[in-house]
Amino acid sequence: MTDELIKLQNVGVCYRSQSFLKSNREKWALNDIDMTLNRGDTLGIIGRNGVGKSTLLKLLADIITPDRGVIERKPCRSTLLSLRVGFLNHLNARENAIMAGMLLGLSRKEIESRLDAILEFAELTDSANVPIGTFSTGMSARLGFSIAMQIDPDVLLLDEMLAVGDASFKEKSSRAIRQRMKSDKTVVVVAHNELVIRELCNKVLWIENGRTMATGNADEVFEQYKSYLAERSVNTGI
Amino acid sequence: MRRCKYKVSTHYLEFIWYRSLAQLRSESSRAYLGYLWWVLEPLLHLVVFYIVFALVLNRGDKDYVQVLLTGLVVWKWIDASVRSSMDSISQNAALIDKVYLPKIVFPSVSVLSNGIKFGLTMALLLLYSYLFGKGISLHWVALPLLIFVQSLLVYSAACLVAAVTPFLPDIKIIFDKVMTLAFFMSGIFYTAESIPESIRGYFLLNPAFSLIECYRDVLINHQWPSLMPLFYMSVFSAVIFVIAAAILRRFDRVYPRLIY
Repeated sequence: MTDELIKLQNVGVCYRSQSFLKSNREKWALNDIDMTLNRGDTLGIIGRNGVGKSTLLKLLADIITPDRGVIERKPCRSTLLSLRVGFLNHLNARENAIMAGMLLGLSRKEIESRLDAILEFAELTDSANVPIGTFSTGMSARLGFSIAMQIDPDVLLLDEMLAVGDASFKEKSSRAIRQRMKSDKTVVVVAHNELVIRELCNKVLWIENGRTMATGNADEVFEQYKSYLAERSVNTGI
Repeated sequence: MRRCKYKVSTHYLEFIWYRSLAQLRSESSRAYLGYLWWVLEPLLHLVVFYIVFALVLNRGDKDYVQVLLTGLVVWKWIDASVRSSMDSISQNAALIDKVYLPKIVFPSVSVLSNGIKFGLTMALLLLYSYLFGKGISLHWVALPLLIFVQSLLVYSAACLVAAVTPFLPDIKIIFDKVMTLAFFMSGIFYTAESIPESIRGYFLLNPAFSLIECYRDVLINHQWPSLMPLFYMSVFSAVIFVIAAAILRRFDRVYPRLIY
């Protein structure tokens, strides 16, 4: 039985910039997207840069609403996995972890009870009470990742694979993400690495210029995507 | 379903509370003197006004310090909340681009964190009134009512500017001047009696003016505040709040798309 969680039909999103003196500029980030996300799906979204992949994730996360088209959604919580949301530099790792956890949907109690585990995973137990403004980029990314790994939404949205930190932490974090994706959770991931998508996703969606070009299993979609890219590079001479 | 909704809103209340405290902690850790500035800043403000009006213009009588202090403490909460709310949504642009939050959270944090400061300075003002001013009186029991009406006023104004500014960033300059005008017209450094009868009516249009007068009635004149202005202010604030909340709700998922 397929259980449709989110269904998009002919969805378009337009960004407008307004100015009194210049005429209003309109940019349709998404033009015509059709897609269905079933419970348990691991959906990979592919396409060139700037074709609307991140905007689509924002739609799925219910951060924005479309200008046209219909989105049908079962009552479910979908969260964009993002690092360092709402971090305040003058606060320490503990306080920022609590705040970021609350932003990602955990209650204060839940996040406080997991605080030690978060700091341990981030390998930051010794720096727990230091203002994160003094952290290196890698350290705060590690903290952000560990917090984000605590959330368990109905639909998990990933923009890129988000492996962070130094070589050993990268491996640890990518293992954690893979584990997530291989479980029966519903996951949507924007990715560029064909091998990763083939390995992890049961469905692939290809977007070009804000339109759904193809959707289906990885073999079919990648075949079309590659021949499109080849044709395009012949035409543009790149 | 209803239970779920209730759970969600308490979640955001919890977040507003935590974020307000976190901002205060963050703000105070930025300065060497930290929390002391909550008290020092209004005191320095007081010194400035005292020098200009009591010493240079020779305007003050013996209650002048208390008159000034009352005005400054009350005004500070209004001013700081409204000014920080104007930018509150656009300053969190990176945040609302990644997670969904009801946008009313941001002015709420501004009002609450400044309200906590207000609570502290108000307590010190009461202490001052008791020790060096006109002393304590039964009329102080009206203070919770005044604080309640003030929080309505502050919250509604904060929500309105927060809701409108992202659409029309230019309006910030107008709001800024309106606040400056409201400051000069709010009777912080003068009392109602020093305004000619013929134009006093116009001053009463400024809610900050009436509010400060009410506080002075209680703390300095030891009389009951007039209830009519408080009533009008509450109704006015409620109307503004309903409008502001409706805008914030209607465009809740549009704010992340405005280009900052």
